[in-house]
Amino acid sequence: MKPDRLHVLWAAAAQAETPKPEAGFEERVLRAVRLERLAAPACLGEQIARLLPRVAVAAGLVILAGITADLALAHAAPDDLSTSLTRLSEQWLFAVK
Amino acid sequence: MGQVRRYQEPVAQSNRVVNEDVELLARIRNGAVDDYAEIVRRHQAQVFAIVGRFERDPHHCQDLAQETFIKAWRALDQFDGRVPFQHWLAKIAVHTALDHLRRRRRARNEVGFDDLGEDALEWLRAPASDPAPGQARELLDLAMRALSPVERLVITLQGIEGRTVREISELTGSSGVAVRVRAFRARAKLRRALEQLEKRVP
Repeated sequence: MKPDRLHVLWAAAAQAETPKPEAGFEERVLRAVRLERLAAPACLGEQIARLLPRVAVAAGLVILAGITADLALAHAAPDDLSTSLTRLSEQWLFAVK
Repeated sequence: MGQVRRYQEPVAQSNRVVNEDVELLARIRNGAVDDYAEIVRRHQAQVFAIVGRFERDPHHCQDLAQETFIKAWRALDQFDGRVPFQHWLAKIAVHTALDHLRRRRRARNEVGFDDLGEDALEWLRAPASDPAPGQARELLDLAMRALSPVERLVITLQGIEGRTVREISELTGSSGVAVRVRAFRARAKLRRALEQLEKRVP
């Protein structure tokens, strides 16, 4: 092997054409970028913003359930909560045997 | 030695593109994702020229170029504009090529003739004239199996692309000394591999 054979190969290889981008290559990249954005984990702010509507709905449901329960109890037992608790404590906690 | 087919833009055009890149990148950072297509259009020739040195298959080349642009997209916030975007992108393309070489590295390093065309074999038997570019690439690809991915990267950038040690150092993030040492080892291994091929050619 003569030392310059390597340089001959390099010089010839340097003339070789490299592959060219296919038509619409940029669109292909853009599609991949969009997918990347969808798949990427969002930052904390985005995650909270995304969760907020769900949190608001959940809070509304809890409030609604509380009001409904209160109304239902009010109909079932005419006493208010403090009266019921007082009675309960008298009967069970301070009951004189 | 002929003119190396290396991607280079004229200086005036390059300066204009640098300024336009900065404006475009600012828009992309502000949410104009579709404008990234323009960045791809502007720089795809450079990216293909780099990754095409390490992968001859056009389909794999498309994948590597796409991988480069996706990596650039992911790291867009880290681009501080201190160097032109095309230099920054070239570094990403080089590292993508290196990752590709590492993935593709075969378990066996021995040099065989399986992937060599008849013309390339003929040149090995009787190298009377300069080889055709395609033959030269086939032969070098085969001989470079004896090199590590990093050595292959360095020697391709130096031997075929004609880049200086400093340029390779900037592109790869290695020191100048490391580049010189790797290039030296790669040349020695490459010569040995070619000698083996010459001796064993059927």
